[in-house]
Parts: sequence; C-alpha cells; structure tokens
Amino acid sequence: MNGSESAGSAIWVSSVGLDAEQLRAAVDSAVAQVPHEDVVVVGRHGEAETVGRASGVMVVDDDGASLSALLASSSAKAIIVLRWGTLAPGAVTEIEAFLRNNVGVDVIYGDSVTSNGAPLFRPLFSPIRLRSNDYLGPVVAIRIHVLKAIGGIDRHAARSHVLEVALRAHDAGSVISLLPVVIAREDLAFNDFSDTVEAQRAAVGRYLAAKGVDARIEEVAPFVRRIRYDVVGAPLVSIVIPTRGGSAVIAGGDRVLVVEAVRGIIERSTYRHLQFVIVADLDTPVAVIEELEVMCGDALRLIAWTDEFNFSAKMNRGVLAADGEYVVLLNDDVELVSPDWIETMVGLAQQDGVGIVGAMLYFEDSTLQHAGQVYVGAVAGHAAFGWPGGQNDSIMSLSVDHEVSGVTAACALMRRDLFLELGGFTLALPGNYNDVDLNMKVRTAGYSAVFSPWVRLYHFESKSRDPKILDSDLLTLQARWAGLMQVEMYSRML
Amino acid sequence: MVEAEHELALIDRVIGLEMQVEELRRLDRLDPASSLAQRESVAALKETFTWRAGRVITLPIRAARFARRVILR
Repeated sequence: MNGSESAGSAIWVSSVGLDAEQLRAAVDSAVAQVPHEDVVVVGRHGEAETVGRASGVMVVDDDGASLSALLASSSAKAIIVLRWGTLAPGAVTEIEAFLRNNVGVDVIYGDSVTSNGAPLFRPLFSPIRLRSNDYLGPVVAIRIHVLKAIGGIDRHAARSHVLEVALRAHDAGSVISLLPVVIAREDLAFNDFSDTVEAQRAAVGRYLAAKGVDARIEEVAPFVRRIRYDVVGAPLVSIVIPTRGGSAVIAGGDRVLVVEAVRGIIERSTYRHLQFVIVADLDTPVAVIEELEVMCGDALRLIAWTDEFNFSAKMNRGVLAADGEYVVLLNDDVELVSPDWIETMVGLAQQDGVGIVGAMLYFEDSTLQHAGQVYVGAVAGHAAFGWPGGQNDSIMSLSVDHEVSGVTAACALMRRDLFLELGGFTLALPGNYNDVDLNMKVRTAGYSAVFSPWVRLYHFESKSRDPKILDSDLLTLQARWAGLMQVEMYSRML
Repeated sequence: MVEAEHELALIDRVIGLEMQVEELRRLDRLDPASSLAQRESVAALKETFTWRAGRVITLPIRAARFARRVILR
C-alpha cells in the first residue's frame, strides 16, 4: 500500500515486546490476509529486521517521524495495528465488513482469545476505563482519513501510539466501537514491556493535563493505573438515606443500621463538606432520631415519611430536600470501608460524560455483592456476584474505574440537577428495579454509568435475600427498556 | 415539596412513555456493536439442540398456523 494503490487495509505489526518467533507468527497472520506490500513491521526491536526481510515486508522505525511518513504515503482506507498477538483467521474480512456496514464508526477494536483459547471479551467503548488500562487488545483499526483529520501520529507517544490515538480520537468526536467478534489471539507473555508501561502512563498524564484535569496516576499493576481525580472546588455532597431505624445482628452484635452507617461516614470520611438527608418512617424510634441529631448536628436534614412504603418516592423526597450539588443515594445497611469514597466518586462524576458513579459492595463475609449491574434478556443482575474478594477477571475489571450498564442505588453518586432532570426514581417501580430504570435514563440521556473498585463499602444485605420481584415490576421495566437490555455489553467477563 | 415531587413524577412519566413508544416501534435502538452481539446471540441460540428440538416439536403447530393463514387470505 505504500505509495501504490490499495483498496483495503494496511497492517502495522508492532514488534515491541515480541521475540523473533512471536513476531514471525504475527507477520505470518497478517500476510495470510492481505498482500505482503500492505504489511509493515513497526519498530526495529530485537530481530525485527531479520523477520521482516525473511517475510518480505518492510520494517520502519516506530518514532513519530517514520510513522507519519508511512501514514502520508499510504493509500489504504484503514490501518490495522497488530500488537502483542496474531490476527485470527478472517479477522481482516470481519474488520473491513464492520467498517463498511457502519460508516459512522471510525475506530474499532475486538475480542480475542489467549494462547490457551480462553476468551477475552472486551466492553463497549469505555473512555474512563481507557485512562486506567489500554484494554483495546491486540488489534485496533482506524480509518486513515480519521487518523489524518485528528492530527496523525504524535511524535511524543512512542510505545503508546494506540492508546494516545484512541484518547485523542474520542475527544475529537470520533466514534470508537467494539467489534464483538474474536479477531486476534493474544500473547500475554510480557517481554520487554517496561518502557511501554511508562509510555502509557505518560500518555495518559499528557492527555489529562491537556484537558485541564488535575489527577494523580498510580500504578496498580503492569498496564493498570488508578487515576485519582482531584475534586474541582469543594461541592456540598448530600447523602440521602431512607430508613425506618431498623436493627440487625452484624458480626455477632446488635446494630442500629442507620446510626452505624452515619457514624462510620462521620468518623472515617476524609471529605468533610457533607450533608445527611435522612428520610425516616414515622415509626423510626425516637432514640435513633436523637442519636442522629447528636452525631450530625447542623449537617442533618431530617425528612418524615408518612406514606406507605415506596423506596422511589422516599428517595425522591430526600433528593428534593437536599442542598448538595451532588447526592449520594445510600442504603442504611452499609458500612464505609474507603475513607476517600466521596473524593473518588465526585472526581469521577466531574469527568466528561459521567452521569452516575457506583461502588464495590461486599457482603458481611467479604465476598462481592456488587461490581456494577449486568443486563441480560431484559433482566438485571450484579457483576461478580459472590466472588471472593481479590478475584479479578482477565481484563482487570475489578482494578480499574470503568463504564458499566448500571450501578446499584445502594450506593451511588450523581449530580442532583441531573437526577431531577431525569425525573428521579420512577414511582412506577416502588421497590425493585428503580435503580435499573434510573441508570437506563442516565445512559439514554447520553451519560455513562461508572463503577469504581476504589469505593468500597460493606452492604449487610443477606446473600440469600429474596428480592420478591413482582411480574408487574418486570413488565414495567421491560416496557421501557427491553430492547436495550438484551445483551450485556460492558461486564462481559464478570 | 409536594408540587416538586409531582413535577419529578411527571418528568419520569414523560421519559417513560417516550421509551415505551420506542420499544413499541421496535426501532433498532442499539449501537453497532450491541446490534451485532445481539444478532450473534440469537444465531448461537438457534444453533443449540434445545432450539432445534423445539422447532421440530412445534412444527405441526406452525404448519397448521401457516395453513390457516393461507386459507383465510
């Protein structure tokens, strides 16, 4: 394709981190699907020259100038970048068909399998996740005119070109899409990737700085970063808790749920600009109210609930009474684990496009209760439900902030004005699925639901609790959202 | 407060009705990736033994329905 006519795709095979055998396999998988002249080995690492010569393909440096020259001379319609893996048979056909059938899509990435054949199913495009982990996989394709339109290759982004281009393309309004088909075999044996880890961290740092986002980047694991976003300003955060002042036996001791939940927040939260909005049933014991008044002082807003049970209506009343710019929707049967939970959630909520932020919730026995909601067949469940603490999936979903289909309202933060703009919780779902409906309203309004594994709470809900889902609840939910809740597209590995 | 709660409920009803209309119109509301995944999911379902067995078992019923439609036409 270099200078000559090409109707299809050029394949750029990155040699970073590959030994000669791996690189040869990658190049072979490419030349099996496009003409030799459309394949280029990028980077003269290791035995790249030897492999390139033996395979009859060009080898270029991976510096910005060389790649820009390669891009300028290309007559292909799209560039397929192949890194740390091989193309699956038929991958180029799948990629070109997807681009042809979806003219609005500019960049695509796809599913892969490990060398053992284990699937690596990737989520729908997730810009918040991308900052923490380049999850795009071994194969990323971009239309050449789009790459040129967004400014081509960044000369500062050696070893992190794909991540850098994806971040830049997203900000430029390009449409980045998952191709939910296995298009690669991934080689997870990391060789000589230490420079890549640092290059990716630097690329994210430059990206955030250019956007004016103040944040600290911490390495969690190779290629996995925690982004600690600084809270802009010091917004008041209202914590809205519905309660009837009930007690339960937790860890062998009797516990007044709402009192202990609030006490834990007051004692352990590092964020101080808080308001507590307690929506209490009339039969809430007076002693409970008095204890809350003593603990919260002026930060307490007490709302009486006089009607019959309706979780949605109670929460709506609480949010309406709240003064905060942000509201935390919180159950009373929780206990805070992460002192910086508010900073983490507000920091995420202040990022472009984020509508609602949820938390990692644990059962009393420290197994996972919630790591985001999953929607399949127009029914909702929880990702990673019952997993032991510390378990993760193969794309490190429980170590990165990431977009999800929805988050439980047992602990969720959103802007108060957005909550009101969307009509709050629907009264049509008084007990169950009201949070699913809220998440769907958030997402169809163009915002994302984001789960953070760094916001951790215990949720003392019984693992065997029967949520008593009524047929009418399900019908109400499905009447609105069935078409959008058939296949889970975010937590595909959980 | 009561007025504000009614206003909130009204906004929700409008959004809910809009979404119900979208559902009833059976428009493809999905992004390209979700749409493809859904088609693949249905295709995979149709490959299962359960689906095929069900098609065989219900064949007489489906044939009768088809015949009735042809006759009534």
